[in-house]
Amino acid sequence: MHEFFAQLVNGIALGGIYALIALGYTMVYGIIELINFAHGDVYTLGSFFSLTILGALGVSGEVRGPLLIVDVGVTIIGAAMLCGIVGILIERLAYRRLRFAGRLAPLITAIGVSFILENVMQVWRGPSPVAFPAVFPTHIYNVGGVGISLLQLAVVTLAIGTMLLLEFFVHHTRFGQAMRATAQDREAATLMGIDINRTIALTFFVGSALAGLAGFVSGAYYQSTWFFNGFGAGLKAFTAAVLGGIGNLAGAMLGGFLIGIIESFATWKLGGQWSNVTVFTILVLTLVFRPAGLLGEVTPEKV
Amino acid sequence: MLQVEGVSRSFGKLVALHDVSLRVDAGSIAGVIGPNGAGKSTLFNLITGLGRPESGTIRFSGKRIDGRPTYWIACLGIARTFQNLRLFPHATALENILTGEHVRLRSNLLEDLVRTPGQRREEEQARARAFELLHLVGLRRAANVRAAALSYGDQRRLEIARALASRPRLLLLDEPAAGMNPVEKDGLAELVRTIHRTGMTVLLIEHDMRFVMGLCEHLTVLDYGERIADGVPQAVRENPRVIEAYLGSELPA
Amino acid sequence: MIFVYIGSTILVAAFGQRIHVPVARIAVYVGLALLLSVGPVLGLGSDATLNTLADAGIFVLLALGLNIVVGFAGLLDLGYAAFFAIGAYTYAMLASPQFGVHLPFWVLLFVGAALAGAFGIILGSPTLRLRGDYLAIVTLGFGEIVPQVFQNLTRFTGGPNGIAALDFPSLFGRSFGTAAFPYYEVTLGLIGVALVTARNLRSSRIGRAWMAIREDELAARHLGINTTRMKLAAFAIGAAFAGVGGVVYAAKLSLVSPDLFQFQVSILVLSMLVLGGMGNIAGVVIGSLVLTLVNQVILPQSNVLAQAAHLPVNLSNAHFFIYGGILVAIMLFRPEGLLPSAQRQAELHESVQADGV
Ligand SMILES: Nc1ncnc2c1ncn2[C@@H]1O[C@H](COP(=O)(O)OP(=O)(O)OP(=O)(O)O)[C@@H](O)[C@H]1O
Ligand SMILES: [Mg+2]
Repeated sequence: MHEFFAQLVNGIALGGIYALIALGYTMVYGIIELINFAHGDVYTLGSFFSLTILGALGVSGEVRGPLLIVDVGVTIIGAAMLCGIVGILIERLAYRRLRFAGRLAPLITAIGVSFILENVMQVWRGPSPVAFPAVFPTHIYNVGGVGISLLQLAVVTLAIGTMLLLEFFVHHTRFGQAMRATAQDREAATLMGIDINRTIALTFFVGSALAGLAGFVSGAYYQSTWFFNGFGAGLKAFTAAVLGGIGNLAGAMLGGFLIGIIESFATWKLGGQWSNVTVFTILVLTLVFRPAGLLGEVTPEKV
Repeated sequence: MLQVEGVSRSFGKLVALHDVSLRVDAGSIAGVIGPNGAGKSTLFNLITGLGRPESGTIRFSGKRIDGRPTYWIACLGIARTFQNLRLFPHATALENILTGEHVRLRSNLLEDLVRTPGQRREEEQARARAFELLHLVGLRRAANVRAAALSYGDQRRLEIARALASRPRLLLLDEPAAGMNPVEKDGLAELVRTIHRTGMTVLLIEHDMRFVMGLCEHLTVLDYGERIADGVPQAVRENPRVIEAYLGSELPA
Repeated sequence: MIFVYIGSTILVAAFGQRIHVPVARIAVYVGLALLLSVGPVLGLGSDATLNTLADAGIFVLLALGLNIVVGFAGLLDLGYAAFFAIGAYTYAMLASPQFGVHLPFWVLLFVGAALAGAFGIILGSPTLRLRGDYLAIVTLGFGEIVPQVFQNLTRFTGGPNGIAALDFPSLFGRSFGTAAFPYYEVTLGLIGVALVTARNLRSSRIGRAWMAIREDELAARHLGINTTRMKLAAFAIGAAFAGVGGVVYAAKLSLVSPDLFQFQVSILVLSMLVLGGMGNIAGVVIGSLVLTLVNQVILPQSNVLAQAAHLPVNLSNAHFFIYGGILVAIMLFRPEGLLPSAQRQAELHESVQADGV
């Protein structure tokens, strides 16, 4: 029973990371119906940017007290901004030209971008895992017999807080309105005077910035990262987005936590070598039996 | 030949068709008319298996076809054209028609793979028939032109030829004359008559009253998803509800 | 020597289809086939050359198979390496000391094709009605699952180490051994079969059905085309090609292990298609040869040069970058691939004439 709760906490923290990445997938898919395959690699970039910033701040281990907030804050904002800019660049250089080229050409391009980013990171940071400083104090709070670390609390709070912020953003700001209008009908949105290109670019910025945030969190959580990290994590986060219902922010969050918990339990019960198989099986089953996901609506084919 | 009985279909709150019935007798030319958004294309879609009616039945030669898969209905002998042309744009006119012959060809995968003599003979015949159809619609010389490179009127006629390639028993034409000038329209009417003379049953949707009046033996009028009139063209034209529905848009001549 | 073989193939493939006199074209192709098949018998090319060529040939086979799925039917399969793995493991389990089963290579070619095709159908039946991008991701998931399962079922598959000491194929009682020559000739023969298969299928009833699905699936259904069945056929045939490739690959290497069938392999094959021109048979052959040349000859060579010149670059890891660069650059600037099909050009040409009429 104790182990059960420990795995649950573990899964929820892992799920928080997936959820953050999944938000980016879901936003981009919601607006231009593209599976942004390079998104997972932007997340890895987030880890590497964080490493660089931490290095510049002179952080190489645990930080205590108010300084923790300053250091972490600066790192998160820096990594998120840099990733956001990378996201905008990718959209501008690779995807924008293909906006009317059907579904497959942009997807193939996205895979190409992913490979390029991976190679660049491999050259930049080497082919092996890179250590990430353990920034957060390791103190474990005992909650009813289950140990919860400050970091785990931070992950979950960040993920949920971000989603709430995004929800507000999408439903109560002008940009959010533009985003929803663009997603629904690009032509009509143009007629309403919405700058489509800017809206899409901003969507990429926000989604990629969240991936950057997730990159920092996962680095701090696992205390290591490597150039290929984003491939698996990206696929799992995409699975989360699909499971929750692609295009749906709350769905991405729900899917993220579910996938995190499922992966954690699969690792515990079946062994680590089966966790990927389990998650990908869920991906396949969801797409086959409920392509709209848990919270999504089925849209009929237009003739 | 075709019996539509009490068919309804809605999209969310919008009722596109409500309790619509229609019969098409074998060997006739029938028309469906009505203002924009009346539900005409939706009716065609239901007949060809794009979506299923919420109530009512559709029968073809006595067989229930509502809710059956599109390819299956096509195999039974219903072919159609689309309001917004759906040719294979990068394929040539000839290839478009050959693809239309799909259901008539018998060769299976293995025969295609090794090109048995039977398969070759069948391909020969298919090409010959495709050229006949190209000739019928006046596109003989454009056989090797990509569909997308054809003029709009030619594309419309190519789509009809492609539909005919499957040797259907019922041909559905969704606004075949849309976007044509009067001369082209007359040519098209002549083409439809020629096709009809070969024994084909035709059901067509059209906006242009003059076009349907001269061509159709029977008309059904839809307005806001309801059937408001049904009968021979003369009677339909004098029907007050029809005149009212068309008031302000296109008065029946 | 390798440049003579690959270079002549590329040239002939590229210009062969521009030759409009059928007899001349056939003569050119037969000449090439003779050069490729008889050349090595006459001792043209070292063992290392033939070895590289045989590897290249296996990829040509894979690319031709994937081309049926992606190029003809328009279905993006991102897990193609899974079928390659199924073929390879078929050979590894049924022609090795692993279970003491030693079936002949020639039989296993068919078994591998059949098993891979069957898996294609099993994966395809529930998924082929999905939208294109979803299908792509499902196949990707499948491509991740298969090698992982092979890795985990240690009792049957040898786990991460795989299965080694596979039987050498033999013909008329003579074992192939470790020389590259017989594998090269077998691969060449299989490519011949694959080329004819692809060409025949493309210009027949089923090939037109695939074209229709690719261009406008809804219109295809209205012509009585059972789209699900036709897609399944494409999937199964493509998978079968990969199965055959896997059997040859395993036999030649005398070893299989799960890491040989990662996602990168699927993307490598996809890059070959994209580079040469999806749907264009000659283009696909060229694309696979060019990429093999880059991977196996040009990159290592330039590495040697770079080191000799004391340049601080290491190109041995540039593969990713090259595949990615090809995918992005071609999609953005030349989506029809390097070799636009002569057929399309002819069409464009004739359309100009017809417009004038
Ligand atoms: N797939 C769909 N989803 C939602 N609404 C639809 C769909 N298809 C049709 N409609 C709606 O149903 C109504 C009837 O459409 P339909 O295309 O049948 O009209 P129509 O009579 O063919 O009109 P037109 O003359 O403009 O072609 C319209 O209001 C249309 O917007
Ligand atoms: Mg209509």
